[in-house]
Amino acid sequence: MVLSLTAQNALRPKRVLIKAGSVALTAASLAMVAGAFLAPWLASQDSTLAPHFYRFYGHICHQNPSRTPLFFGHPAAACGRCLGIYLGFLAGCLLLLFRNPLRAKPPRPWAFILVSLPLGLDVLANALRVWDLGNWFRLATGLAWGFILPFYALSGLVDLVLGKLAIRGRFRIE
Amino acid sequence: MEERKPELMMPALIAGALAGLLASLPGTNLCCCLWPMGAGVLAVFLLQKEARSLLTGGDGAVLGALTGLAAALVRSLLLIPLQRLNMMFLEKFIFPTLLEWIEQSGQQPPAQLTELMQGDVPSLTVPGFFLDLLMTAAMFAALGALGGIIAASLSKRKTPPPGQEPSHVA
Repeated sequence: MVLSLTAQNALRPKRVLIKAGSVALTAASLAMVAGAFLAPWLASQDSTLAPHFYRFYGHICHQNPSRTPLFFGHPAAACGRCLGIYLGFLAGCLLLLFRNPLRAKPPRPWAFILVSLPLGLDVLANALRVWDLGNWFRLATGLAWGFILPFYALSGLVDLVLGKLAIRGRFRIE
Repeated sequence: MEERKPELMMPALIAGALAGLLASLPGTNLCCCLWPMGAGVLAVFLLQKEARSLLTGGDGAVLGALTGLAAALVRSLLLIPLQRLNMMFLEKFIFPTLLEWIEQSGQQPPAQLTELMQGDVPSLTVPGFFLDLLMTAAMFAALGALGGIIAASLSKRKTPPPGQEPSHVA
């Protein structure tokens, strides 16, 4: 079915898509954050599920205990920096939920560079043993970087779905 | 649409293979999520250079996800022969620092770490390999897609040549 949309109602599917995308991203990031905190709690309860949680996060995090904050007497499933990224991502998603969907555009390159610079410098300095400012600093740099990511993720997701719909001829914007 | 698929595959395979290699080698594998995201970025730049056209965020997501899948496959396969080398690296460079930190902090090391330090490496099984591959693929695909979107978005800011508009590849 081909729907001819006027300029006014052409924005409707985009608005709905952006809202749906925001909700999906928020749910996914909430699950990632919850899992990272659930693992130490399960470990504190001697649950057999705890190793599975740690193994899952281990695919994308080194889980070095000296760089991982403790919760319930056990290390979180992700290091301070990764935890910061997840929390920042969740905060960005929550902000997107309450923003005008049509204003959701990817941030400008200078904004991306601005938040990437502290994280990149800290990673490099840690690797070269120039400085070690601790887990709170790692968490802060991750938080700032993670915060900007949903704005890109959402714009890409919406663009992908809108592109697919346009290719399949489900709607046409006049 | 079908004609352009090989264009997507080649940058995805090149960037994915590189990321998979770096994610499995001792030392570089500590950078974790950097490689799949970086591979997504690299794949977009490779395709844009080759196709001389700008990509949309959606194209970046598809290309990045494909790159992440390729990286996950390469990593999982390379980890089999590299397991011994990775253990040697851990024993020589990581465990001494960790033991020192554990002594200083007075904290109990996680059970998994204790087992690993004692050389108790879980044996590789076929279902275990595929489960590991599945989880790695899901995470790497998501991270690669994010990298692809960021790269497409950053390069889209440049003024395209006259008459050249971003187009959907897939």
